[in-house]
Amino acid sequence: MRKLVNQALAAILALTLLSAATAQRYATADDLMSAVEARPEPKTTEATLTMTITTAGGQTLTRTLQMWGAGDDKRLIKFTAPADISGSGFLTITQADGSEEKLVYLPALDRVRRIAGGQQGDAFFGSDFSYEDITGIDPDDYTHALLGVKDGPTYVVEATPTAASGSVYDRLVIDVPEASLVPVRVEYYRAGALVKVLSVSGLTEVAGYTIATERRMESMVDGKVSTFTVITQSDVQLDVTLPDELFTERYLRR
Amino acid sequence: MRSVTVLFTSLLLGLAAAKAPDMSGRAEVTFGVAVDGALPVAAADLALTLKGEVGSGYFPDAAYRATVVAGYDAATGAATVALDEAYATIYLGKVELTAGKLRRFWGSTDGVNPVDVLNPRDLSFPPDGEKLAVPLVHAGVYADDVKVEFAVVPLFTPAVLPGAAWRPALTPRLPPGMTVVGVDAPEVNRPAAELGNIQFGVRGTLDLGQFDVSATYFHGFRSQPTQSARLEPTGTPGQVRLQPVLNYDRIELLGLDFSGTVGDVVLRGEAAYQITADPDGTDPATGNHALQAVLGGEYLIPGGPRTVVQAIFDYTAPDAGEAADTAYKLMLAMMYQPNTRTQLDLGWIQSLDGSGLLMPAVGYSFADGVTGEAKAYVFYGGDGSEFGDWRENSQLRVSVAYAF
Repeated sequence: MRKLVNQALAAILALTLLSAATAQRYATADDLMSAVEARPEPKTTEATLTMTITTAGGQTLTRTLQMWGAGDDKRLIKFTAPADISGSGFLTITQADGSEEKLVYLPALDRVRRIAGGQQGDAFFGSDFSYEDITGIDPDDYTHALLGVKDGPTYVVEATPTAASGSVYDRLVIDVPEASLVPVRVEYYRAGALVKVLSVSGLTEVAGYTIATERRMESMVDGKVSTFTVITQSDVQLDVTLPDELFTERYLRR
Repeated sequence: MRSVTVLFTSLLLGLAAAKAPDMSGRAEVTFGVAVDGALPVAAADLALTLKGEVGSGYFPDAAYRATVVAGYDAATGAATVALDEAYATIYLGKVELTAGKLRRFWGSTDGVNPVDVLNPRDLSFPPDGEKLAVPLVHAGVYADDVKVEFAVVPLFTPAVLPGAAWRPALTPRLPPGMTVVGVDAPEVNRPAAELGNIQFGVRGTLDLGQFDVSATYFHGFRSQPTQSARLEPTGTPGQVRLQPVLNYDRIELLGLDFSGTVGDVVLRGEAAYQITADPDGTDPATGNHALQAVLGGEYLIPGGPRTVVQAIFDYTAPDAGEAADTAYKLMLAMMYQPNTRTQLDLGWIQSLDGSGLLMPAVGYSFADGVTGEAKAYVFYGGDGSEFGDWRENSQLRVSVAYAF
């Protein structure tokens, strides 16, 4: 009985703390996610990414890549190191009808291969990120529910993929600080189990935009981190002019 | 040739704006053992690549690349130093012009590409069949949804033919009472380096977003010879010598290929029809018309391997009075990465004659740029079947490579 009382007190304390932090601007998850979506975003992005993959044994593999993006519709990534995968690239173009064209260039075969949308759960070049994770979260692909508000205030939102989204996940739990409106932590659930945790840090202002310079994706097994990948951004340029020819098979293989 | 001169002149003029060249390389050691205990390969190879750009921007004025490969195979005693690729590309707006010794891929399907005929293959180890770089001038014209490619191959380069262990025995029809008492060195009829033997091709691709389709025309030669044999009298009644003849047939190739996404499946297809100079099948030294078609799909099994299944159809027009040769094969390829360092692959080709080839492989990344692979090649089938005659060539190959 004493244990039950303690648990009840703990729950009341937690609720009190949560309510103390509820001097919140957004009453519903949809309001919040609309604000997240309305956050100013650069028309174009160019950056150097360093991807460090840490295995369960603690050893690391490091990949360096160059990334270009135009809005949410076009994204090109080319690997520059290490030498055995240098030149490999990945191009995603969202068509006017919402369908995605995804192409991979493999220099050893000198060929560009089309890959299907159903493969978005594939590991992104051996990392803990999948192609879906790299592409990012489109709020239109999810229904949202507000689970709570933590100190900050930071909103805790449950995002459930729609059937049309093609997501490999059951649901996501997203932490969104009100100040930045940048999702800083995402828990990915599949078949009811927590399979990945994304942590976003290094928020900085570049050309008037808030961007994250570091993303860490942890793969979880039985509630413990098995492997993780850290992607850091550098040499970030926003709203630079990127020619349309950049997002083509021609440039992908150049 | 003038285009090559212009290309290299522009490169020299642009050196002031050139980026520092980038040097990279790859060292690889490969060791193999066959089921009969033979060592088919015990090789060390080193490839050094120099590449760079002239000018700046997303599409610079020009780019160049050269790779030299040196190798030694203790199993065969062969030591080689060779220029693998050496080419330059100039960028002229929507046009790219590339000249030199290089490889270009044409086609859509995996593993078997009937329209990919610009480069011959090294068939000394037939299951791998790596493409050989050849002298080539390639122009690409890129419009919005349309790409047109032109290729000229000025000098014919034959495929590297399989060694004796992979070659079928010559079995000519002998008149009654005739005996073969010897086999002479093959007579090789290779296209001479002359204007009339210049090979060329054109390929157009229409990209519709989720679907693309390409048409290809090629005028040239088969890189693998048609093998026939003449009977040469010896002066002794009833005894003849066998004179093998290797003829590289002139062909006109018409090809069509596509790839497209339907739901979670990528569909790919490719077909090519080769027209030779022997439409009636009356000349035994010249190959007949032939069609090869490949149709298949790729699907990622949720939580499992990326899987490719393809059906392959081969047809060779008949010799006069004979039946046409047809063959059907199924190909399965599975690729799975259970963790960051490990790659598991399975290749399987099954002929409808009951023979086949199974190729399981395990790859591992030891560190950045350091990878290893163990791959088995298991041939099976009865005598005289497509893969059965290679049973004794079943083998395991282990390699370690460092890319820098």
